[in-house]
Amino acid sequence: MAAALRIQGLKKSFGGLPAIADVSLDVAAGERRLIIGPNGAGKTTLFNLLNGFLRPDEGEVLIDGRNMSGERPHTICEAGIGRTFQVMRPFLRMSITDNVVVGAYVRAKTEDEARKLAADAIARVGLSDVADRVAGELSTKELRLTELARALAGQPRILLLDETLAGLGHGEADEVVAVIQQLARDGITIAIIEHTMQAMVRLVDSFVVLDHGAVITEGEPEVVTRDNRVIEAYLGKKWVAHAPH
Amino acid sequence: MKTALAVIVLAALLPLVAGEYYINLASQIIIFAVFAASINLLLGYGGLATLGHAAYLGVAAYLSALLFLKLHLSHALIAPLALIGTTLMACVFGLVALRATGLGFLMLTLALSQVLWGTAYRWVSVTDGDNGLRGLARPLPFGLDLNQATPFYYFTLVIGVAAIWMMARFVASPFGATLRGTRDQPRRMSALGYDVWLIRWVTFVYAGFWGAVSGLLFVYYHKYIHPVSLSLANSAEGLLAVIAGGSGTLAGPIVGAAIVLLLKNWASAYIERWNMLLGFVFVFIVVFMPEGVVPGLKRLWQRRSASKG
Repeated sequence: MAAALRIQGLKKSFGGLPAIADVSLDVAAGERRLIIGPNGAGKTTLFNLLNGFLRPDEGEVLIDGRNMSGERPHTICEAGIGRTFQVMRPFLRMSITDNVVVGAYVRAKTEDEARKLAADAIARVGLSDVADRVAGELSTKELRLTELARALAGQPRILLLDETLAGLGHGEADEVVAVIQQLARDGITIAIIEHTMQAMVRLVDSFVVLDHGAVITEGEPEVVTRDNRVIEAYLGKKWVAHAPH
Repeated sequence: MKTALAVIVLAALLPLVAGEYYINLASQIIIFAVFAASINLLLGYGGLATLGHAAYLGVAAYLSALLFLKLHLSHALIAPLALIGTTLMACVFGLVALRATGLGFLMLTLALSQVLWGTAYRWVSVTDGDNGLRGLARPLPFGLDLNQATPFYYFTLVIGVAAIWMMARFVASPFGATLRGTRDQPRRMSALGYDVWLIRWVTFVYAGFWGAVSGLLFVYYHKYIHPVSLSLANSAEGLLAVIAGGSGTLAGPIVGAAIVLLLKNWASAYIERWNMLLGFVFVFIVVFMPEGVVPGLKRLWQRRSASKG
């Protein structure tokens, strides 16, 4: 399969501190890829490099084979990368529909088309029944889904989801996971940042583990969770001895 | 919409009851309101505080005066030339000023307008420096003689209403919504595919254009132009009018312009230290209605009707 998203030798430092030391990875079209790692591993920095908030010091980001590194965020969005954020910032006084319409104009030429794309995106995340409510009075789960719909309205081919499950209860997390699963079945390539692996093991095709700005390992969930380096990164060296081998 | 129509009808009836002095004062308020409303596009809807907006008022006025005095062109030709020239200047100034936001933007707009102010003062051979340019005449649109107070008032009212309507349309449009989006969450807007810089630049140019329109009305009214029109004081007065009236509201700049000019003209006839009074009024507004008079009164009104019901 061709790589929808290819990252080659990406580097980014803040002052003298390398946040992304040297990251290369491919995400195949239609793949669901989870990026995990402990706090400060560089996960969000990686996303910020991918969607143009930050310029890489070195290396390339290729979207469908096209080099997009150093382009500005709106150009990268037009190229087909949608993104949600760890901290939700909806337009609080606007309805869900209007919030999502904002995300549709990157594709839509007319207002009617934007409304249609928005309604479609809202249906995909299952918020059609509450679409007229004002964002300020929504629950965390509904806000997450609104944010997801806002990114979807621009019809991205690649979605970057930054801690979409943070702050959700078990039942709620399952609902959001189900939505993401459906999106993957519809052929959207998905990269997810998540802190905890549990909910994700069932959802994704493969893991990438970041620590100190570098890829420690990648592969299938079952393999990665037994990897000593991963256990060390999360729990410290002394736990490696306790791990089942 | 109903309130707006009522205000326009009342404004149209004003010359029937008021004397010449008040008619002229009302013309000045309308001119200043157009100027303040154009600042409000940037400050209230774009979140960009400018201290250099007098540049557009002043340059349009100077261009109009110079074309009239030196090239003896007709007003029908001068007006579009002055507007185009000033708008082109806004295009270039936008490229410079929008390299920054926040305080950086404030300082860049201030610096650019100070350059023009200094030029107007020092380039005596063209601008006649501190003497200003005299010997101007008002235009004669469709043969109407605008030299009397009442016809000029109606002329100003028509253009003022059209200008504010155009600006209201601008902020109510989807583009206006994206502008407010870039004010509140610029990074999110860029991640959603909006070119934040371009949205700000278009707004900057649009605001410059309406600043130029107010400048033409200004020079028609006074038949005289002096470097002080380009000064920091003039920019700051416009900014204060927006803040006092309520930034980010349509009525705010109009009310703010009325407050500033009424205090300046009317109060100064009775109180020698009218500047002090102006200061007190601003302090009062900022302490008791920090969001401005229009939203402040609205809030009081809602509280009153809520406690009644």
